[in-house]
Amino acid sequence: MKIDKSIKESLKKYLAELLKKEKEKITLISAYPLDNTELSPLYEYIPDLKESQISFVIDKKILAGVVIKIGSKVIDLSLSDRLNQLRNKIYEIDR
Amino acid sequence: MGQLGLDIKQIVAQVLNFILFFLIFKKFIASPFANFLNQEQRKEKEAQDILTKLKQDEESLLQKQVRLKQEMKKEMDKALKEAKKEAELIKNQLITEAKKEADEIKKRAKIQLEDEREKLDRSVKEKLVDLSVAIVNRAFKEYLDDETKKKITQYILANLTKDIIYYEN
Repeated sequence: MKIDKSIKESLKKYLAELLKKEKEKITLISAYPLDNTELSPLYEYIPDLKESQISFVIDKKILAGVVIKIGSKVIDLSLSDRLNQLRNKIYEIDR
Repeated sequence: MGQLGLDIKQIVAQVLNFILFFLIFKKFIASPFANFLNQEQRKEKEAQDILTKLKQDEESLLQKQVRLKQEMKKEMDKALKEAKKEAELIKNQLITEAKKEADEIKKRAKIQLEDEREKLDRSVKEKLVDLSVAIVNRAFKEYLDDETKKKITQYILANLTKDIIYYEN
């Protein structure tokens, strides 16, 4: 079965856009709603955040701090991650 | 002669008679008897010789037997001594090998034990760490109020370094 070239092109375009959107999609996870005093150091830290559309998510499991998801990338600045890091360090010391 | 009462004819006849008797006796009785006696004597001598020879043979045989027995005993003693020596050597060798093997097994068991202990230690420590972290996590969940959470978040954000650590989700 042959697919029409124009359909192929538009499909390609649509997928590329979707991918781009997904790549640009930013999620900010915190244990409570963040205010400007907490967001401004983050904007300084990652200037791209200012221009992007951010979806805020509340997740009490992270205890405190924030987790930033940019596309498929993750920056974990949460207290639960610190605890995990501490655990890993203790494991490494033991070895 | 006739006056003396001797009869010559009778004397001659008697002499002839005696000679005849002597000749017949010699020919038919004395000679075979002498032969028989000689033969018997020879046989007896031969038997005596054989007996003597047999005695000598028996004696030599006995001596030979004694000598053989002695030699056999000597050989047996020698063989026994050698076997004993060899057995001692094998015993020592076996003991040495067994000792070596036992040492090896002991060494291996010690290493294995040490390994197992280390593994157990590590596992206990890991469990302890996991438990501690879980307790801290739970304590944080239950006892951190919003204010403290805010302070912690602010602390984390204030201490951000420029080295961003990304990881793929």
